[in-house]
Order: sequence, then structure tokens, then C-alpha cells
Amino acid sequence: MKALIKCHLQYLINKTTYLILIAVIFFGILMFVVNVFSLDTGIGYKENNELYFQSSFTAVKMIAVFFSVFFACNSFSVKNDQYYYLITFHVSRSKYFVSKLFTVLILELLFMWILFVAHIFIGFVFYPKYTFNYDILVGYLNIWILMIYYGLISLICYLPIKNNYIIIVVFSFYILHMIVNENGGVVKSFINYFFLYLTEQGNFYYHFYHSMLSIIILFLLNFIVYLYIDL
Amino acid sequence: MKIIELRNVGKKYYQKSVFLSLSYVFRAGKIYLVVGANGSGKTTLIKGMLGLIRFSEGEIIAKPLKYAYLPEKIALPAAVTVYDFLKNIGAIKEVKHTEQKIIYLLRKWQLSGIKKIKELSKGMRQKVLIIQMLLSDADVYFLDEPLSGLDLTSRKNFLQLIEQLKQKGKTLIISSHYPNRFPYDKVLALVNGDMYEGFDKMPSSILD
Repeated sequence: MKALIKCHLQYLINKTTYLILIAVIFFGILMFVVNVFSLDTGIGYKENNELYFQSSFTAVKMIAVFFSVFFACNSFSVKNDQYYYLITFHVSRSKYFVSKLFTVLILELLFMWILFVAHIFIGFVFYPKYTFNYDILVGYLNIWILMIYYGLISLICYLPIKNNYIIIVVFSFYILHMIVNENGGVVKSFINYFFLYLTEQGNFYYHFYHSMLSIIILFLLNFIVYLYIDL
Repeated sequence: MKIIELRNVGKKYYQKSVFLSLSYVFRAGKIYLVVGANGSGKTTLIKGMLGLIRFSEGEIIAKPLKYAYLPEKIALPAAVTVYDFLKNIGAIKEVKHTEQKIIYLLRKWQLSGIKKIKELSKGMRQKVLIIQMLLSDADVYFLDEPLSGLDLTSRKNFLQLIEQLKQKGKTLIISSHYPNRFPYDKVLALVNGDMYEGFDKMPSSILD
């Protein structure tokens, strides 16, 4: 298993991934800096802390979803998935898929951790009254779960057709989903039942178990699709 | 001894069929040469036999033997050294004495293990794929356009390798556009969605 995961890493950490990762992290850090400098001195430090978290959180969500959609599709692109040919007689398709997905999730967690540390670090450096709150960590972990969810959504669309436009389609859908949640009334309760949504406070719209169930269903669907598609 | 039996297998992509109702029995210890024009379905047939793609119809019966595959083209991880890549593949395949085997094969194929894969030419990458195939001992070898990118010396080495495998009683299923370059026991020609034994129905353009 260790060698298989190493093999996944050798393929997944490539030039394209590096470039997108650096660009996305740079954009995230830029957003943190902009947000910390735009804090209002006229209000209390608690409100400022909350403002910094909420304004950064929306940006991080968007960045994270974009990265997860890109990374999931890129990881299972024809170019990055053909190495299964070399090990097809030694590793079952199910083991290959599960281990690869696991590797993707761990790399996404690492990405989230980098953004989390950057968020805290910039807060402490540029705002003297910055206070760390446990909810920030929970919020970032929830974004990671959202990343897993959107990664799986994009993958189920991508696997049968392997077309890179899926990245744009799924990300556009996420933006649309955000807009609906900002404006919609009854509609959003219905839509959020089928598509996960993280509120500005860093919690899921429905219960955490609802998110887990959605992810499990999506994982199983992806798993079945992967067993049947042509590689 | 039967090793693989194709029973009326066919493959369609959407409404377009690549081939239909192919039946054939592959036997142990022989060299099969699968020939045909571009898009005739050589790679599809091999991938179907390997289970990498699903046939749209028919069934395939394969003996539980050890198989090895040399794909026609495949991306290799650019930033990794040849040695590290092969060592890891060897570990996945659970090859015994991997390191010694890799060193021996790298010397035999005149390839540097310390070079990163991105520094390799097309022919050198093909050698990496050949070495990974040879790491584990197999009963049946599927070779898809194996001479692709190889220079004259390496081609000679490869043809020697085919002879050695044949002498060891291995079965080889080779797909190629160039039928005149390989030794063989049976030729399977894919023409217009059908498969024929021998060259009779092959267009002369392929045979030239």
C-alpha cells in the first residue's frame, strides 16, 4: 500500500498541480492580507476578529472548491490515470481507486492546513488584537469536507467523459449555488438538501451527518462508475 | 493449452463499432502478431483482453496466469528518477531482489538510473516501460507497438528478447503497424471490424 500511495504521489504532484497550487495559495494569502488591512478600527476587537474570519472564509471556500474540482479531475485525467496499465495485474481496480482518492484527500487536507496556518499567521502579524478561536479550525475542517464533496461531484461528472470543461461547469455551479444561498428563500433550503452549503459562520446548512451521508453516497457512486468505465 | 478465449467479442464507442463478433483462441507458448491499420482496434482488443476496457458484447475466458503489459504510450512522472520510479513499480509488483534486477536491466538496456524521466528521449522512455514490464516474471506478455521510438540497437535487443521469451515458453501477443519487423507463429489481421488469421485480407499498404 505504501508503494502504491508513493506511486500516486509521483504522478499527482506534477508541474501543473504545483503551478495551480502556488497560484491559489498566493491568491489566498493576498486575500488574508487585504482583509486584515481593511479591518475597521472603529469597532471592537471581537467584531474585527469575526469580520476577518468571515471575509476570509468566503474567499477560502471559493479557492478551496476551485482547487478541489481541478485537482480531482486532473488526478483522474487520461494522462494521470494511465499508470494503472503498468500495475493492472498486481493491484485491483477498486484498491487503486480507493488508494488514489485517499491520496487526493490527504493532499487537499495539506492544502487546507497551509491556508489555515497562513490565516492565523497573517492575523497575528498584522492585527495586534488578533485572537485564535477554536471555531476557526472547525471552519477550515468543514471547508476540507466541502472540498471532498465538490471533488467527488466533479469526479462523477468527469469520469465518464474525461473532458476538462467539467472543471468550469462544476465550479460555475458552485458560484451559482452561493448566489442562490445569498438571495434565495425557500429554494435554498431545498437545494441545500441535495448540495452541501457552508454558511458564513463555518457550519453546514444542515447537520454534519447530512454532509457525511452525501459524501458516502457520492463516493459509492464514483466507486461503481470507476469499476465500469474504460481506462 | 488454451490461455485466452474470445467468444464473439465486440466493442462499440457510442454508435460506432470498432469490431464485432470476434472469436479466437490464444494458446500457450506462441507468438501472436496483431496487425492492422490505424484505428483498426489493435489496442482496443489488447486492452479488452487485459480488462482495462469492457467489450460491448461477447465474453472472454482467461486462465489465471501471470500477465505483463507494455502499453504503447503512457505518461511517466517527470520529476522522478528512472531508478526511483522502477523501484516503486517493483515494490507494487512485489518483485523479489528488485534492486539487483533493476540495476541488471538498466545496464542491459543502457539506461541511466539517476536521470530524471523528464530528461529522457522518447526511445529512452520506451526502455523504461520495457524494463518495468520485465521486472516481474510473467506467462503472457502483451506488447503494444513495442518498437516505438527505439533505435536500431535497441530494436535488435528487443527482438532478441522476444526470441528469449519464446524459448522460455512464454506467450506473446504483439500489436504493430509493421508486421514485417517481428517473428511470429500466428498473424491476426484486423480489417474493417473483422479479424482474420494470416495476411490474405490485409491491405497491401499495411504490408509494405
